[in-house]
Amino acid sequence: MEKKQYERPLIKPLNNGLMNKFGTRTEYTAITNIDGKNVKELLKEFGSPLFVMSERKIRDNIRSAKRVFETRYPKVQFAWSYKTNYLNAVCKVFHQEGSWAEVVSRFEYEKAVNNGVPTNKIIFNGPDKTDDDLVLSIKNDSLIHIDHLDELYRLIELSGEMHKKPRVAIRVNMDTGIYPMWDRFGFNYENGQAWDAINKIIASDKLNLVGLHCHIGTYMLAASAYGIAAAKLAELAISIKKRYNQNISYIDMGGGFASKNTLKGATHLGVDSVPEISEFAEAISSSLLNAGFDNAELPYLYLETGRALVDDAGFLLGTVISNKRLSDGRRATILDFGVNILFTSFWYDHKISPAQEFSFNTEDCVLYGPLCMNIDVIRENVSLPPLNNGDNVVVHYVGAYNITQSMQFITLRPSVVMIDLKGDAHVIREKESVSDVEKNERIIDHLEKFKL
Amino acid sequence: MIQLKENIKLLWDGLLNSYAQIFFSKNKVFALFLIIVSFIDLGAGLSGILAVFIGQITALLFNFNRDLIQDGTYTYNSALVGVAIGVFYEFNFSFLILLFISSLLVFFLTVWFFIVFSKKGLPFLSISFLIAVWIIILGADNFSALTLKQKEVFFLAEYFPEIFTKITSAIASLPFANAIYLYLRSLGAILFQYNDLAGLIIAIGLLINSRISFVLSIFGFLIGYLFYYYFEGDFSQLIYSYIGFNFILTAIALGGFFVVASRRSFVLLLFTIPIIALLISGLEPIFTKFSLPLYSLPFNIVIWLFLGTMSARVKAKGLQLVSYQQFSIEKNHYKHFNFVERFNSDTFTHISLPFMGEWNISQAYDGDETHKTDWKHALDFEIFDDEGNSYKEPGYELTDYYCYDSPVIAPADGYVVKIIDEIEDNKIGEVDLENNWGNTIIIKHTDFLYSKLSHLKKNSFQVELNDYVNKGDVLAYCGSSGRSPEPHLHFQMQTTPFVGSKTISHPISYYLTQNNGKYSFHSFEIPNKNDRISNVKTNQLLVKAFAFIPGKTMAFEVQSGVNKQEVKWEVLVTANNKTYIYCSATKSAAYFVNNGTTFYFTDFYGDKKSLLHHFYLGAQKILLAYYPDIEIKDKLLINTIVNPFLKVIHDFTAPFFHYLKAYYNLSFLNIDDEHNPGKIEFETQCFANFFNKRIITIDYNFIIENNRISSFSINDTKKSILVKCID
Repeated sequence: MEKKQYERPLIKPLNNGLMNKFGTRTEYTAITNIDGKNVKELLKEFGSPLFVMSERKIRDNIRSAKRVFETRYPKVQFAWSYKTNYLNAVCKVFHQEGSWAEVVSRFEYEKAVNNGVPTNKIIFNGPDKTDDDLVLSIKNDSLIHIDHLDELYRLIELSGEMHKKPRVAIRVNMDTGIYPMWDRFGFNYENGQAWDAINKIIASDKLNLVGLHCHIGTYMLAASAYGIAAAKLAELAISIKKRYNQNISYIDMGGGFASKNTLKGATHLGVDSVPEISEFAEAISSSLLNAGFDNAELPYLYLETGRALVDDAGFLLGTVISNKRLSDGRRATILDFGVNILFTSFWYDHKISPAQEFSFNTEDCVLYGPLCMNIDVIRENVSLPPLNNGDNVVVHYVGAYNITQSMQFITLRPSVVMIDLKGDAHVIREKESVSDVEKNERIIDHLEKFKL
Repeated sequence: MIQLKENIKLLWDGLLNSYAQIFFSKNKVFALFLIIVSFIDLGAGLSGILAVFIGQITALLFNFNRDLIQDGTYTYNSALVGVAIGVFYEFNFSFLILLFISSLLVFFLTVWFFIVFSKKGLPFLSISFLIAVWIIILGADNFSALTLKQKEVFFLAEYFPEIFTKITSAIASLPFANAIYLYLRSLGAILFQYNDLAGLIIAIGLLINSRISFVLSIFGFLIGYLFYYYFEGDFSQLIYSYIGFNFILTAIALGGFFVVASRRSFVLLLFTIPIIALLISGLEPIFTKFSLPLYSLPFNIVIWLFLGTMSARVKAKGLQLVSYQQFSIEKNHYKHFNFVERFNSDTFTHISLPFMGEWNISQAYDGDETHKTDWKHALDFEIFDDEGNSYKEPGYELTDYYCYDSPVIAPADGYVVKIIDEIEDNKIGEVDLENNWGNTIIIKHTDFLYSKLSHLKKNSFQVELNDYVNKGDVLAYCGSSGRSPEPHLHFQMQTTPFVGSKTISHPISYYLTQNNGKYSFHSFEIPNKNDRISNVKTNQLLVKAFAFIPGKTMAFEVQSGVNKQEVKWEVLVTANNKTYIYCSATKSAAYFVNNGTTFYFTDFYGDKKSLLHHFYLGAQKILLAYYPDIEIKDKLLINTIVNPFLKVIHDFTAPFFHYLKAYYNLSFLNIDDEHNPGKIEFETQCFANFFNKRIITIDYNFIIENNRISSFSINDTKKSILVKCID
């Protein structure tokens, strides 16, 4: 008989809340396996902490998103938002599923090129494109999404010099009835900036205006806002058709669909309150289908969805370093991963599951990371079963923005593995080493020697 | 002046066609052979031509249809009457007066019978000849001014007796000489020339005109002959006026002219020729009482009997009647079979799939669950994931099902004639047998063609009763109302506008199926269970490049080696709305159809060496959508690419089997930008097989740019031609 796991005793106040016949339950079940791989064995093999990406989940997500959009609108193209997760292995799964690349910097642009994405299937977004970047994009026939007038003027100059007409779109911001309104990127719709930019582009005759782009926000909880945005872009496209008899080949609705994570301060869990992708799809496609395009000239719908496609395909596995009692009596658990690698814990209340079986008792506690910094708090308040030193936990929904935003701070960044469709784990990024970090450092000669 | 020239051409064509039409042809060479035969008796030859001429002049003076004058329809009976009475009477002045009056009589009889028979949808054949010639024979005894020819004089025979004896003796030395005599003389008898030379010339003409006719003439004659032989019939009936030509005419008419020449048409002759024999034996004694020859009466009766009854068939299966008369038995045959292979399943109204994206057929025609009896021609659609599940876990809720709440679109244009929208969706696993069809919409596409979509979601309708919807418009959303244990879309075609009407089988015009990422293209097929199917997404560049609107002109620079020349085409349209490309320099026309999804050629008339003919071959069928892994296939008429000699040899056995076959393939090569295409390249190949061995290959390569065909090349073993658009 297996030895029963020791669980330290705890004293809990009786809650006089609503009773139900099951007693007080927690939302947690133990997660001992990911895609058939045992969590403890993964940690043993690849070290702790450890990021795990599920290839199956990524493919499921993109296929179901495509299905949802393609059964509602006849012309759909996804572009993988590199900034969400630009590990090459992850990007290539998306490219294999037919996604193009959406990049916002020269660094990401080059990653996409190196990944083998045809340059005319790279969308170059963002406010920061140098002359050099623009020249390269023009040469490569990439899609350039213009963010501001200075960029527009520069692009006209450069394409004139190069005698090549680049394919461009403008980014449009607008009031879709949500707060905050993202008006720092692109040209405003309501005050006429967008129409002005369009006229300037067409009048210049140096740029080939092929698309219209918007990105109304991030972690959007209202599908209707996308309907409004799509309608406004469609109206612009139809105005262009009327005035210049020119077809807009695509409308890029950006991304921003919420994942199942729970925002800090939210009243409901993400899984319960976030709209399904089908609701976003329905809002966008009915706006476009009803906008009044000629059926044969419907524009393509481009989507740069990142978070909603990859967040739940990423897991962070970690280990309990220690438990302690805080001065106010709260229990605190210290884990071996902190905000430096779980960057999204600044705005999400991440779902965290124990990686081993436990009894039904839970206790409110604070989860701290290993950094010797006061800000290193993973969860301020979470109800978990009592965890012992050496126990493991699984953090859910970490596939988006953590790997790209995690930083080397105090400790080194851990390995990332991907579990393939057969259930085998492969390292897709090695654990960081001291030499990796010091590789680009240079020592000035006179600092070489010292004596203590 | 121009009018005179036109009229002379009209009369000349009309004259030749009048003779050729006797043998169901419009072949001018064959017509000359027949005219020569009629001149074996000079008087008969002259009077035949005069009779036709008198008929034509009458028709012109009275302003009858010029086309019918030109193609000989009005005057082939005149030719028969002219030759027939020319054989009887001495050629003198009183005969000329008789000829004039008889020609008027037969002409007006022809027009009158043409009108009467057309209403019944029957050909008038030689009825006006029969009536006119019988009247003349019956009444001629009264007029002593007419003198019968003393003996069977062959005018030319008197001058060249040795030709006749030589031929006769040559035939006599052959095996089955009796049968051959009888065959040749029966052929000659069609122009009232009862001799071997006439028969021989006609037989050679017939062979030049049509190999199938020639085979049919022998086959028909043999059956009749053997029938008489087996029943020990009185051969004198056959020898007297060589009435056996009825077998030959019937064989040609039913074996390939009115019925498409095939194994079946030959079997048909096995039964109809003996009927002719019965008619000859039965009618002969009656007609002899009145001293009247039977002539082609038995043939006329059998053809009317057959064609008159065939139109009462419920289904035009088995024996295929010629629907568009080409006046060539070969053309009738090849075009029919080519048409069947290419377009047999085409439908007048194009029905596409009633959804966007990829769905699966969860129940097809004759399904195991509910598509039975009167409702067996129905399709159920659901969306499956890669594991073949229609839902995501746990599958207890409607919203777990992939197809639930997906838009349902109009499969074709039409009026909304029925909407039911008050039935709640069932819980998973439950069915509502009381409201079997659930929420339903019925659209009327044409008279007697309705589509019905069922089990829709309550309150999801985007259209109203009596709305006109266009293909692709969102109608409602997929639900699970009625007899629907889980969300799915039921789709059926029917001829009546009622919920619960009987279903009819109706193919989907164009669609794709996907299997492990590989797409296949289907046209006018009925999808199968578990097919993963989607609508074809057309490509605007291809659509625009092949939008040949009547009035459009195209100019090309053709470079072949060092030679350069310019070619100009124009797109025209006929009175009955058939569009074609016309090249005035070569007088060639290529008929095409553009239905928005495919562009294809249907017919070509004119110069087979012209660039237009190459274009007709190379662009035989274009899918107006870019799918790099799909190969478009089609079948060609063999005479379009096969050497004429091989084709002529092939004709002899064509009704039985085809060992020469010609094919067409298209595959897409390149596109610069799939979403906003500016340039597309595709290649096509026309090739022919002798048995299964490739004998001819022509490769074409097309480049589409600036919304037009910017250039194409033609390559085969002998030549390489580059064509550039220059307008």
